[in-house]
Amino acid sequence: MTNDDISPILKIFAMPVAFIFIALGILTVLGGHITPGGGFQGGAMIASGIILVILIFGLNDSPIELSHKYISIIETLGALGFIFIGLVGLVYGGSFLYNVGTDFYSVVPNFIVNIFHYPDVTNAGAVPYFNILVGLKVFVGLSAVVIAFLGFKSLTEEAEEDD
Amino acid sequence: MISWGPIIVGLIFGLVVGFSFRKNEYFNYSSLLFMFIFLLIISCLEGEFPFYENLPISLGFFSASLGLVIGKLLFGRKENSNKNS
Repeated sequence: MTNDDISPILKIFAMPVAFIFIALGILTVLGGHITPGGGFQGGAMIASGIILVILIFGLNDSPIELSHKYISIIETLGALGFIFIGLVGLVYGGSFLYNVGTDFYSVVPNFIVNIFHYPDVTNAGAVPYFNILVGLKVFVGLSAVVIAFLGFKSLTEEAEEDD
Repeated sequence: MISWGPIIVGLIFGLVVGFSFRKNEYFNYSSLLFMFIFLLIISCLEGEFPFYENLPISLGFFSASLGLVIGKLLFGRKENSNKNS
């Protein structure tokens, strides 16, 4: 599916705006523990930049191309990483998703606390890592929905042309 | 005091997103340079948001934009795989 009838002004305009959306989305993910926002909101902002470019350029000619392998790797990384950090809390802290980076109850060994402590002025522990993993998962998930819809649409158009 | 968390993780996150960029007739190296300078200006305008450091620049935003540019330059897609399939 290509968008040949879209104005060149929109095509020139799309990538700088998408860059701003994506960088602001990453900033929202990274500041999720001290500012409004977080993993889902930041991931949705990144996905909005990608969706904007895909809608303007079309699925085949888009300068941002999310392949099936890329989407599956990032989605799996986000989900498994979240579960892994949650299980670390279960093993060392006694409950699933225990904040092993902060360790409020002083039950986690120091080397585990040092590994999962986010290097920041706030004492957020593992919460930013949860935000980052959710952000990764959401940005590829929402982009994949739009990519799938555009792919279905082009398949439907091809089937109608054949009939 | 500089927080290294948003700098490092923003760079990695930008690299991950930058993997998927591809050059075309509207998006080439000169537009990449323009976008990097544009994002640098925006990060200066944002100030020290959201980590309230002493530097007058949003380091998380800047490292994310740097990661996007480096990810495109080093690991970006070379050709359109949709047209080959």
